[in-house]
Amino acid sequence: MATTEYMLQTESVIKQYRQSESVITAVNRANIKIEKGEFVAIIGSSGSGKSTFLHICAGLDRANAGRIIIDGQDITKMHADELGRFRGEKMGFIYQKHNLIPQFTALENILLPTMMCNKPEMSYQESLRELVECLGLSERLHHLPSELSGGQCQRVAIARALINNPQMLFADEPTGNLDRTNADEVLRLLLKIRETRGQTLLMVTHDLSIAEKADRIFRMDNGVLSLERDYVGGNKKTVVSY
Amino acid sequence: MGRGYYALLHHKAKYKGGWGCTPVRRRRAMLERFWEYISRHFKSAWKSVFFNFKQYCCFFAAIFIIQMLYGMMAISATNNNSVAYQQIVEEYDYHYVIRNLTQGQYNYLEGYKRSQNMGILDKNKQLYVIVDTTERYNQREGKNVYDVYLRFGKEGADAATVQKYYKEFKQFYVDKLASLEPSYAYQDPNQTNFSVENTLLLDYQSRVSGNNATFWIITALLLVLSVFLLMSIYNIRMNQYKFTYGVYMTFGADFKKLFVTAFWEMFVVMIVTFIPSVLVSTLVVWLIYAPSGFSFAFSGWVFFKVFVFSLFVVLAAVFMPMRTTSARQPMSLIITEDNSNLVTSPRKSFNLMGKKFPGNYEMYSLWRFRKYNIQLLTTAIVFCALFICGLYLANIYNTNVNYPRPQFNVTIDPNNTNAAYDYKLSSDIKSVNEEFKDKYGEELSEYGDDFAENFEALTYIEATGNATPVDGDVDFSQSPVTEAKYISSFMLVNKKNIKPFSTGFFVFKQEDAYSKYDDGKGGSYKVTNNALYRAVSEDTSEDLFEFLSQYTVEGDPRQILESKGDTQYIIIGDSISNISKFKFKVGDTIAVSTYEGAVTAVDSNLSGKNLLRKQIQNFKYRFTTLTVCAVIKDIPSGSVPVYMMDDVYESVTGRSAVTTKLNLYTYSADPADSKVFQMSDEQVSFIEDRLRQVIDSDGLSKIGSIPVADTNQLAEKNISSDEHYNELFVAISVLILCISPIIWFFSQSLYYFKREKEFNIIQSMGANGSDIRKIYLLGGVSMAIMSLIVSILLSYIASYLMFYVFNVVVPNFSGEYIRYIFYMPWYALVISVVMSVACGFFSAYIPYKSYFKNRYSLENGGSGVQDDE
Repeated sequence: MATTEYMLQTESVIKQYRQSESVITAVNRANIKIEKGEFVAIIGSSGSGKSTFLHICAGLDRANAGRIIIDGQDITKMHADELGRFRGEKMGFIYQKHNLIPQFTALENILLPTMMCNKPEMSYQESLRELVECLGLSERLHHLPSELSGGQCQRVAIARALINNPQMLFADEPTGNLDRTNADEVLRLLLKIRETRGQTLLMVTHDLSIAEKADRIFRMDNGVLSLERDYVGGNKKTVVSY
Repeated sequence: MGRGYYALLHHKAKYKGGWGCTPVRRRRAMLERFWEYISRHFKSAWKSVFFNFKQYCCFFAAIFIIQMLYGMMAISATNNNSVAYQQIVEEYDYHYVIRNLTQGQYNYLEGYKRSQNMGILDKNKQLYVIVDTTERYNQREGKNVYDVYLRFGKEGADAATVQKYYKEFKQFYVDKLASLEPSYAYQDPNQTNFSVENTLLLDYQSRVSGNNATFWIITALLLVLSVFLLMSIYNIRMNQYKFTYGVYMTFGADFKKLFVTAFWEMFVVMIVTFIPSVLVSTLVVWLIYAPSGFSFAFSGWVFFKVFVFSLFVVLAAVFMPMRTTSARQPMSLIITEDNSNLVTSPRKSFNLMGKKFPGNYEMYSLWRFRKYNIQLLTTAIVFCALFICGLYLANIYNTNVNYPRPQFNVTIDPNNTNAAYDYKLSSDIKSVNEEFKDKYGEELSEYGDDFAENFEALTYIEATGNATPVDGDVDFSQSPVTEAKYISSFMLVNKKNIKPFSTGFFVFKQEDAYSKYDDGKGGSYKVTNNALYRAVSEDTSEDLFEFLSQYTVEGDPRQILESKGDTQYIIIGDSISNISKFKFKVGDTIAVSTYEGAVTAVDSNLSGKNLLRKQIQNFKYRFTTLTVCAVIKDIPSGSVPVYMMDDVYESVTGRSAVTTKLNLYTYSADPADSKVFQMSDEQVSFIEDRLRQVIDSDGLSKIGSIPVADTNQLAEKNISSDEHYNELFVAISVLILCISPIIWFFSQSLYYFKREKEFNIIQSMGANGSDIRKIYLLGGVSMAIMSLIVSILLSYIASYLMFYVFNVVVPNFSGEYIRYIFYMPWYALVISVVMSVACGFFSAYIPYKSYFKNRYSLENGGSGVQDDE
């Protein structure tokens, strides 16, 4: 029997914030296992801790306890410098608000990750051509983010996340700021590229229609993560809308 | 509606101070409303300022410095008037001096102190008091003459009374004295033979007015500087908080609202710093003035002045930024949330692929933020340049106080053919030195026998004359000094004798001038008419050589006396308007032109170099070749002085070389010598007295009337040195320098605070803590390097600007050509550069420390461990 290869594995992740005298638990003993090439969505109400969990998984934030293993490596034990290099090499991140660097043009924003890490085995030039073509950005490459529309900014953000061809993609409500048409278009492009490249995607979303495209759906409720629907395993539950 | 309603209405109106109440109540109600308005705004602003205290720290520091600057100026202005008055009172107990009175005139003054004889004045009023009388024998007249020292009014009379009595005295007595003995004024029926002099005690009030005028001019300058400072800081704040203001405006804030809010916040800061700043500035001024030994003067008005001044500064400084901001669309402000307002949009992207991170990244960022960086560098470092300007001013003041000026002026009547500055007059004047040594030899020998033997009370005699026409009063055919341009003359100088970049005063690429002149060597020339021709006579040349000995002279000036035939020697200066322009060597030649008639007339509207060009083209000239025998390196000058023998001078200028004025320098006029031995007032008076007697006795033989005027140099010098402008300028400069770090740290902390998000984004893409650290440090080092360049550049520009203004511009108004050397004190430059470089680096380093500290704090959800530090 072949062993399952997990791209992301979390074990009892806890994240707490201290506010004056009280302690708020944002993530409470969260466990998840995501296979390579899988698309997993996390849904939940606002303030339930799903974005915090995503940030911790991507190594953008530190957990108070627990382990996060990406591609077999425990990132909680990594030194910050090591984690930075690892993130640049293995992960891509798409924010809800594009978070492009305002003083850089679209092209420079896309190429930014290429400065941080160098993968000799891949052709960045080819990756850039493919992404620009696929995302329809060729006319806007020399514009500053303030000169682009919201949809265009988000497409630049996607290109930036994918330019390094990361194995693991994290997306925090990537279409949350866009209208339906733009949201659908951006998501379509994202999923298309992901599928072509066989990347693993962990996405936080509000949008059930987007979540339904995922292989599995998890729900985050008051920091507690639970499986909501598993198309692969057939463990289907009713998704309550909110 | 019944009566009750109107009664209630009336009651309410009375209560509110509106319709129906008494004027007293209305005023009271108005005051109450005013107080409520003030206290409401003040409380709200107080909360806002102290709730965000960190944000306002730099405003506290800036307004404190502004109040101190003005407080120091106001307190020192009061002290300067007080110091001047105390000095003058120590020096003089009389307002007016009348010299050379005959016995009859003296008797008249002695007998008619009261004004009843004038018929219109109060007969009990004592117009003047004779404080002192000096009697001496006038050889020319063959009788005794009197110098009378007068005080107007009673002792301690106020300034207004003194001025009133002085005017009355001039009106009634001076004419009366002249009419008493018309025969005494034998040279001119309208000219009296006695002379009158005002003392500083009489002119004190006009000195106070002058000081007050200076104070208000400085106030205006300080106001501009202070508004610039506070506005710069406020603009930095506005720039970084545009998003916030955009949101305010979205929800209804207009200019009035924004302005009032900003004003009250600054007002709170101003009130908090007000008393401490005035107290500290009083202490500083006291420390500066205490060594003088005069009583310290402090007026309660200083508080009022500082308050009003800082109120104006605060109002003006927040007005413009708020006006500009409120005129913009809220959305244009809101989109600047991401710092994009500080970015200069690139025309084309950089190819970042494979570039080294974070070095290239931060270089690109520096370029992108170039507008912000340039603004920051210039705004912050301009205060270092102002610091240099302040020190330059202090140095200029020092030079000004210590500059050797003539103690006495002797005017020779040009209409008197017997009067002349010659060997006899010169040796007679110098004989005063022997008399001085006879009288004060014992005192001088305390400084050594050599000192006593070589001591000269009268050091230099400078021959001078009217170089330019003054209302037709001067006989132009007689003067030992002639400005070249007034006789359409010019000087041809070989290009090799002119320093590079000295184009300002020269006409060049002008073929006509030297095509008319042939020196037989085929040299290439430039032309200038900024030359001052001066005559040297064999008779009095020793006085000139002595006079020149106080300057640095290259070559042998005495060689000028060997001029003969074709070799005519000149002594020449090396600068125009005190800026060194020439590199003459002994043996070099120049040519001077003499106007010989016009071929075509020259347009009378032309001036400067254009006029000179046309003159060269249209006029006929004769040229005289002159050989340099000595070069004066540091003589103060507007035009370059060219000393030539009197026969050459007469041939070149067409004027006879008759000296009309003598400037006499005493030992006390030389600051370097005065450090060894300080000549007393009594000794200066002795010289003056002896000079008058010598000149009177000389008059017997052939000269006639030569008035001697004491220029009050000693008293002026003492007052000037006790006014302590030197130290005051230094203190103000240091305060101005302190503004620079405030701007650096305020601006950079906000800038890096806004960039924190960017650092977080790039970390999410793989950058690590050490990369971010490098970005901060690279930014800091780059700014430090740029600061180094900009601070050196601005310091030199500021210094040269001051040099140019005080050497070229100011002399046009003052007529005095003091040579202020180009001054760049190394310690000031080092302070300015070190301050800028340190601020450039640490203004990035401190936000970096704060960024890493906050990032891992438990409050921010961090682990509490700075694992990448």
